[in-house]
Amino acid sequence: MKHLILALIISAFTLPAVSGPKNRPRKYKGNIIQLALGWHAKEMCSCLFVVGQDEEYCKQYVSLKQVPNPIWTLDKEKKTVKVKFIKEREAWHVSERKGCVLL
Amino acid sequence: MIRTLTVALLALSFSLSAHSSFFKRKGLSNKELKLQLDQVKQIPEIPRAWKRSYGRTGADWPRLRWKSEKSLYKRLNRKGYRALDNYLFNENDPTDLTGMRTDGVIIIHGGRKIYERYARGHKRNSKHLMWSISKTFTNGLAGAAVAEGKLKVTDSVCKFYEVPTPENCDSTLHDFLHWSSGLYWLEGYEGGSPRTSSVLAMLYGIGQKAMAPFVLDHKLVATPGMARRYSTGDTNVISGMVQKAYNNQDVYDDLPWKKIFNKIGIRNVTWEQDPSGTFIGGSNLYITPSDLTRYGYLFLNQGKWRGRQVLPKAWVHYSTLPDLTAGKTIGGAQWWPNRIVQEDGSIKLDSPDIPADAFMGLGHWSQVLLIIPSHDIVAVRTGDTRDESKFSRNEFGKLVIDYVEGAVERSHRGFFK
Repeated sequence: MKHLILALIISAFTLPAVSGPKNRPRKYKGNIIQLALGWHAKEMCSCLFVVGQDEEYCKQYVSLKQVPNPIWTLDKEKKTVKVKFIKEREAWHVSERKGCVLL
Repeated sequence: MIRTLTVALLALSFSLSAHSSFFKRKGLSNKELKLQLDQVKQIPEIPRAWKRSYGRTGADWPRLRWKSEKSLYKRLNRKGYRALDNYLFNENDPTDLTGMRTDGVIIIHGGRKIYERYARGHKRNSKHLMWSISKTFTNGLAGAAVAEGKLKVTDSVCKFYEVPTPENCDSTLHDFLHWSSGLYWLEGYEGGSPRTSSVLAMLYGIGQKAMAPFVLDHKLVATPGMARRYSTGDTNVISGMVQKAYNNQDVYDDLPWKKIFNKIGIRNVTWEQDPSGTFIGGSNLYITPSDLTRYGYLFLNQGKWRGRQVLPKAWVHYSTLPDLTAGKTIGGAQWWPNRIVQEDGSIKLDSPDIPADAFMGLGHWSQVLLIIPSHDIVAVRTGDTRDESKFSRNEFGKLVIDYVEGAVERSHRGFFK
């Protein structure tokens, strides 16, 4: 039993060194809010100006269970979408061919 | 002490065996590699039925629109038509996020439209986000560049990009096309932690400004070409390689239209780029279901459109038949052949009720582009199926075939003559 415990302790120290960080999921910089705002801005822009759906449809399409809906600023003339929730992100419609781009 | 060490080593080896990627990193021996290459020679035979349908007479081509035989087929096989309707458009509440949520379906048989229906505010001219079906278009883009001699499938990524280590240079265009660059990647939109999702970081986070360099900045966790790891990132590197190969942004911007879309009459399409001007080849193409069937019909006809070879026939075979050089369970080059090669070399079907020669483009939330050469069928289904267990591509394919075959059989029996 003593040997088994000792063996497990040795394994616990050596395994991370051998298998390395490659087996652990990499965590990316930036937080969930930034990601969610990026999703909201880009996908709202494409939904409105590429797919051509109405605002109500698009708001439902981009809503996420995990985070509250942001504050929207839609400029249908300039074809831009700004979203705000603590931070702010923006997407704009470049052209018919190139669709929307996240800034 | 020796006993302790032995037990420790045993415990360590058991722990390591749980980490299969540790072994994958070592790659395969020359003998194993040779065995795989020998197998490759046997597998990519052209399905007999495909040979038959190629160069067939009687098949039609779309001009501005597909010719419609929808009402004829519906009369011939009302039961099959209803079965499709009931399966795909079965919701009372279209806002229910857990439902089937089909947006559009169009089926082409023999070059004629035999079924078309839209729902949930989508119309014939509404473009739809393709998600990963975009990858099949990136395949076409790379195919056009290869055909023009701008790229070779054996080109190393180092020809176009700076990479962290010399080992990364072993990744070729062929490897990226088969999702086997060996680069670390964690695919996944929902479920799991958003902070560990590589694809979310690339599309909406730190990788968003220049996606291909972001992907290439990941660690090598498998020998390039030796293990498949499905990655939207790999596809965006392909877009980047094509961009670098042409080295002229205007030419690159125009490339999909000049080389493919304009030649086959695709008009309603948008292909988004990242801020560095690279097509987001892994996910961001928008197209109408009807125009998507044109792209499918191009591949059904092995790259030929109205007698003109738009993409090389060899490229279509290379892309849509299962390949073994990249591992033991592998699809095509940014396409999903129905035939899956298993560990022991035997072949099983991804969708058992769909013929073996079928191949597909598949996208998030159940977008499907299904091509069945032996039945001369191209079928598209777009949707917003958040609960992907609600839609089965096998069931869809089965219903499509039943509808077509039922109508054809009755027509042969002279039902309406």
